[in-house]
Amino acid sequence: MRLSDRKLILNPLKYSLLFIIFLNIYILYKFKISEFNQILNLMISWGVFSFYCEKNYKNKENLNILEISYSFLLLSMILYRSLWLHVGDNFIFILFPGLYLSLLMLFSPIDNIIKNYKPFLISLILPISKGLFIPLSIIFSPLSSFFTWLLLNTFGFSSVLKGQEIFYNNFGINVTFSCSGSGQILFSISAMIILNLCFPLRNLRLFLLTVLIAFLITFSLNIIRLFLLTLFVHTVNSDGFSMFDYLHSGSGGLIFGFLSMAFSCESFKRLYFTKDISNEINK
Amino acid sequence: MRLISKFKYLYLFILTIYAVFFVFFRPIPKLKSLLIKGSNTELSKQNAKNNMYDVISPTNKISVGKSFLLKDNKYWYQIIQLSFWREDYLNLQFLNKQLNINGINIQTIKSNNYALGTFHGEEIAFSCMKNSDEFQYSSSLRKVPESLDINHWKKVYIYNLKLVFYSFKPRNYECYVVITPNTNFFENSKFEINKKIFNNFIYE
Repeated sequence: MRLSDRKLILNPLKYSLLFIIFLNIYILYKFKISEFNQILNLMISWGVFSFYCEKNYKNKENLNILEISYSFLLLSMILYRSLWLHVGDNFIFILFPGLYLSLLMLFSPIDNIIKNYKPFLISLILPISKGLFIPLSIIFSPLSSFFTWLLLNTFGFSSVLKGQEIFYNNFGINVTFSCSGSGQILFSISAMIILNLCFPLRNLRLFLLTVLIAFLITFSLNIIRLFLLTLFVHTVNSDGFSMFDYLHSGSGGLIFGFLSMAFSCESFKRLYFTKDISNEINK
Repeated sequence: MRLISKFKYLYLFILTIYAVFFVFFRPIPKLKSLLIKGSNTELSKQNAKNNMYDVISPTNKISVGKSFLLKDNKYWYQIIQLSFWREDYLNLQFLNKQLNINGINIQTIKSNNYALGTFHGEEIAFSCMKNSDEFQYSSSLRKVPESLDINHWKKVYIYNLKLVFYSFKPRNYECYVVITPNTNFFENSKFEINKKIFNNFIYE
């Protein structure tokens, strides 16, 4: 089913969902959420909506008053809390799954929501990934520092590692949580999960393989980024073009993010299409 | 049955109304009414219109109130009334960009802190003063924590969760930004600070 189809236009669930998606995209943009999270949110929105385009879910018309009450209660709680939304407020990440759940409760019985859990699971990816950020960063900050130091010394750039700080030529970088690569790793893995829910791979082993590949690619690219940051740290805040400032800024980080996504998605594509080949062979 | 189906349209209607309400009537931190006292032999005053500073609230968690320019025999003191939704949001970094203050150097006195910087080639000091005893440039001036400091991150995690689900409702924190070329101003005694700044206002 396509967006232009008459059924879609006449189905209130779909245009309500579209409304929520656009409202959420606007709020994330308005409250200056990072580029990575905005792109992840676009992928989530696409993932959720594709379920309603691919499959025409049958929605029960005769919902009882209790389900309608729950829906409006949840909606009013979310809207009340949203009054205090501001830049840096983590509630922004819960907004979409909350609104989506309240919408589902209005259109489908609870059994139906549980049965068709996949789109709701996709909508939860952003808050889950935000919740995992700190625990993962605790692990990846020292690991990233160590591997960057190792790479620098391997290439003959004599550097010193002290905790999560790397010193090179009297300058140093501090590998904080945002530099640890956890954000990008969660971003790539989330993309793999969404892709797998929309285009399921043959088995769980293949899915775990794509997750592992996405992780290794993203982690390695972040090490290369930290390696370059350490080499160009002397250009920080210098007049004119500073390689350090560029690589450290959002646009520099996005280049590495896009590279890791491109490689991860390519690996997913290859593994996904091996399914078709094997099916043909089996036939 | 038909009545129930209408709830589905009500849902969309509520969201639309809310979006409009949110754009035009979003709550912002409250500001107390602040007035300047009558003539003072030591100080000359100008109203907000004659200010050399123009500050705009960068986000809805900060409200910018009135501003005043006070002068004594030697120095000028620019006062800008600010209100934050909570003390943790206090950070005057947005002023550096808006007022083009360069070369920021943070100074700490006991549990307070202020910033030194250059404004139009002149050395200035500035901080947000709750009272003569409590002033901060930023409430979160800390050393970058170690990634393996599990207890610290546990606290951050729980605090963030609480903000989302429980203690989101704001408690207003109002303070007065004092910008002055008197770089030793924040090292003055409480009495001196009150005399120069706080005694000149009527709080309602």
